[in-house]
Amino acid sequence: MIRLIVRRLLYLVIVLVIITFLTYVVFFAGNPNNLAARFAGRDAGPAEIRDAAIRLGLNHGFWYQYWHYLVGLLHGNFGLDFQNAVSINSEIARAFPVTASLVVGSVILWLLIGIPIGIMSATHPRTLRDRASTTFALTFLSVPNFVLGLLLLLVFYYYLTRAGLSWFPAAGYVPLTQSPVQWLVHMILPWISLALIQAAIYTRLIRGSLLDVLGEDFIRTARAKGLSRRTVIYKHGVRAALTPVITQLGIDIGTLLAGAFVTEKVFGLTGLGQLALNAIGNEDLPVVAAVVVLAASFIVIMNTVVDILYAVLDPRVRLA
Amino acid sequence: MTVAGGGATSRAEGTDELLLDVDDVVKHFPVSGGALDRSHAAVKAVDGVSFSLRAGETLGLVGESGCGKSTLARLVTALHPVTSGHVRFKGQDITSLNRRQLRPLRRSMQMVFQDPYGSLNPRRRVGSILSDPFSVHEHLSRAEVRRRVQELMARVGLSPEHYNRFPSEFSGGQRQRIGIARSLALRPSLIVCDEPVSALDVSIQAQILNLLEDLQAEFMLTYIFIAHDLSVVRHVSNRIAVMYLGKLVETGPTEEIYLSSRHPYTASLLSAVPVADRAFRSERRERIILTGDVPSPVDPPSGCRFHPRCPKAQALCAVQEPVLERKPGDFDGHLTACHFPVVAGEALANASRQTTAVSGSGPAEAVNP
Amino acid sequence: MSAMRADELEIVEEEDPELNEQQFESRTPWRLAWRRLKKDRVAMVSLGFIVLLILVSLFAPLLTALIGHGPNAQYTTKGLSLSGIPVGPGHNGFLLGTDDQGRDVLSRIIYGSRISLEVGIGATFLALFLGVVVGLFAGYYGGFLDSVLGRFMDILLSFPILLLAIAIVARFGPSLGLLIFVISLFSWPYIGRLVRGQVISLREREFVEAARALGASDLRIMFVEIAPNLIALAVIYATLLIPVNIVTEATLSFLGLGVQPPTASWGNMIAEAQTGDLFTVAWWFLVFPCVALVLTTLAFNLLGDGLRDALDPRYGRSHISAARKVRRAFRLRRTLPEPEPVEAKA
Ligand SMILES: Nc1ncnc2c1ncn2[C@@H]1O[C@H](COP(=O)(O)OP(=O)(O)OP(=O)(O)O)[C@@H](O)[C@H]1O
Ligand code: SF4
Ligand SMILES: [Mg+2]
Repeated sequence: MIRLIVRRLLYLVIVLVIITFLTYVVFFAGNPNNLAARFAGRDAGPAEIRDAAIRLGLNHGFWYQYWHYLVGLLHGNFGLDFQNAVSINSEIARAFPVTASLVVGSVILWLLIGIPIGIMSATHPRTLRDRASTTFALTFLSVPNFVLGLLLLLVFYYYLTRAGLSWFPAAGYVPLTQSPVQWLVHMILPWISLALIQAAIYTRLIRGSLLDVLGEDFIRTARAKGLSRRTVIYKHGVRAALTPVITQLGIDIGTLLAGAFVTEKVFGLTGLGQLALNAIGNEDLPVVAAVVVLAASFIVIMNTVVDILYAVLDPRVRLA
Repeated sequence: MTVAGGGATSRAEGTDELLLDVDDVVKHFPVSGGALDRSHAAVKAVDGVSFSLRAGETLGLVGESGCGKSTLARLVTALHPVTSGHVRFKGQDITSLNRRQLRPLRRSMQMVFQDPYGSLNPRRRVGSILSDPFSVHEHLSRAEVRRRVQELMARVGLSPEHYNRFPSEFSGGQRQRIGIARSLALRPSLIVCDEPVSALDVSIQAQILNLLEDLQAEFMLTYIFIAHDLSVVRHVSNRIAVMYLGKLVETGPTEEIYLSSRHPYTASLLSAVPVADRAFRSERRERIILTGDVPSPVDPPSGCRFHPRCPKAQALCAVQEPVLERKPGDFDGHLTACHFPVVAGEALANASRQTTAVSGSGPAEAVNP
Repeated sequence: MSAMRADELEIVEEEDPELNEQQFESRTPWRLAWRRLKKDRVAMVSLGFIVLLILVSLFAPLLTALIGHGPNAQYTTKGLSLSGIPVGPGHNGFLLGTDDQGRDVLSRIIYGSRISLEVGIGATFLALFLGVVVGLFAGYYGGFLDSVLGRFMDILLSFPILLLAIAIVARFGPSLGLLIFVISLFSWPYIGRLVRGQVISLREREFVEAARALGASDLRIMFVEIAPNLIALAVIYATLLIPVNIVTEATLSFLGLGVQPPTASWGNMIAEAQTGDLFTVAWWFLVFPCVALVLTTLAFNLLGDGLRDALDPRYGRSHISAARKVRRAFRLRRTLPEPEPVEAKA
């Protein structure tokens, strides 16, 4: 067990180093003067460019620069913004809560929808309820994320509002600290649009894995021992069936984050995705690099956590 | 060992040229039980087998499923590397050669595979499959390759017009003919036939066996002919080797084995020969039903590997491993690995009852050295 | 052998009661598959739709000429009302209406299909090539090479394509070629892993051993013996990867990382519809590109599922109801892109 965790963590460190290195190569390797010129601004003279180069550390060798960048990252310092010369950290600090609200909320929502429907579907196979849940899954599986978001916006905001029912607000973000109620109201449609498609996948996943588990010996033994159907399903069955769900959750973190970036654009939320996209428009490479490194690290770390969690839950993995 | 047996068969008896010499070959497949399992268990598929073969001869290799026949065949044809031991082909030790050095030898050493369905690539046309030997070894024009392939097809009894068909368009027997044609293409001197007919209908088996026999005469072939029962092998072999759990237990001229087998295992195999072949069984042989399963080749029994199932087993058998040697009164080429070999007229079928009832006191010939 | 006589041929030609000449006619693997596919109505309708789509995108200039509206022409008088509101479907000769700049939505969808197919199919072919080659080597040689390549594919699969697209577009600027490259870079591991698994089972088959017994080289075994057995798998999963890649293209274009306006792509049409908020009164120029995207995705998924039934003899069922087909297609869409659960690897 300890060995597995150590191995996983070691692997994590290696992947993180690779990610930062690749990001560095993609963004900053190349002609240093080019970078400095961009940083110095459009009408800078040669002297100013040289100044900028020195400030950016571009006069040093590649490895030194990378090392410098890495040390900066380790201190939680993403460097300076080309455009406004403000610290990227503050921009990220502003954008991060938006993306986090979106991701956390929709994960909760999708599990709240997916797990119960999946369980219901598995415990009542081939009934009307099962078929209804299948239909639900199919409907949302065939629609790309942003299409769903836009259609929700069209119907639930514009058409309802025009019909005189202002239940949902226009796009935008209200910080939780400012007004929890407004925060919630503004996040509902984004959460739904991000969660429904995933929830559809999860109902199918849970249905399948629960049906498998319910057919296994230990469940039949538990039933034979006289435990009630409810106890068996909820105490034994569901717990065993959730293991593959957790694995899937780890795998889906990346998809989810990408989905969040798309949803941000649909609903005009100024999260990390919008930050990166705007920065691309401004050719503001360090900001993009910061978002990419942050998101990639997040994904890899989450995957590691899930791997370890999975090993804790499933004794078979521990043996290997 | 190289003296031909005294059986009066119509078969070619072979020449004096020693074609193949197998010397104490061993093949262990490591058993992997998960990545962290550091135990060194191994499937002892072939565990010290020696025999030799002269040009023109046919050796029948017999044994139950899983005893290591196919593995031995693959060692002989250098498809698997040996764990230890040597295989000499035309005097050359092929176990030490690398793949490139083996390549020229492949021309003269071929194999017909057990499964006529698995051994032909389902997604390639027969003409293309049969042109493989030429594309790998010879640089011929396309027209020439095609001519040769069609010639081959005709020789093994397939219509040359079926050149463009897929294997799935042929019956089992026809597929096995394709397999034979492929092995024959480069005119090898040795062909190892791994149960070439066991997947086929009885009516078709005879046709294939006849074809193999004709080809042997025509191309001076040497065969190792593998089968899991003795009835098939009898028609085609000069000599027979019986295998049990990775080891040879008895070998000798065909008629010797049939008429006076010495090993209890051979005797039990012979007693199981189907009714149609009864003529070849002497009346003394009642059906001997072996009890118990074949033990695992991962952890074979101590001493004589046959002892847990042997009707004649004694205490010695579990302790000491019998060597493959000539027993008193046998012909020169007849070797048996048994402490208490069967003697003529012995009723083995009852022996099992005896040994369980009167434990300890063995039959008379138990006084063998 | 050269002295072969004609009469020898007849003696040995055996008869097999199971087979007769009529069955021979249609027993080649591909013909069998096509026959099974033809019986599958859902797959055939999807195939028809896809063929139609391909024709439409091929003849896009001709079609738009027939319609009379170019994809980028702005019909400010005919296509927009006096207050600047787009014209609705069926009015003034605009079958699907116009967008906020007075451009014909239908013409733009027709041209957008070109982008979708170009990127979807182009990226899939690239991914197929990479995936088959890498999967062949990893599966055939196994061992260290396999674990390195396997890990590499795992990392790529758990990494969202969007992040890399953001990185690359930020550095090099958007272009169609780059888009295809990025999408294929992230989709080849799907194919690679499937191929690897298949090769691992194929390399143990007897026909591979037979080739080895003939002295065939590793490369020959990989590409002559094993590769032909991968075609069915490749066809099925390529068909299922195309819609995934089409959606990826649309998503990237929607975010402004893919095809740049004014060139029409379904993704950037949807993005343009969103930005002006005009779609609240003129829903058509948002909804129709969405419908085109969803229908295309659906058609490829259903065809892929049908192909799987037809090409894989193990699933040789041809009379599955349409409803079940649809259901299975979606289950498959999920199983395709996700990697296996955590492996118990050392
Ligand atoms: N590649 C391999 N890896 C591990 N074990 C193997 C391998 N090939 C064969 N074995 C094992 O070696 C033993 C002998 O197998 P082999 O195929 O040689 O038997 P056989 O006598 O040909 O049987 P059959 O009559 O069924 O063909 C079996 O226990 C088998 O499981
Ligand atoms: S040695 Fe003993 S156990 Fe083995 S075959 Fe002979 S009698 Fe039977
Ligand atoms: Mg075998």
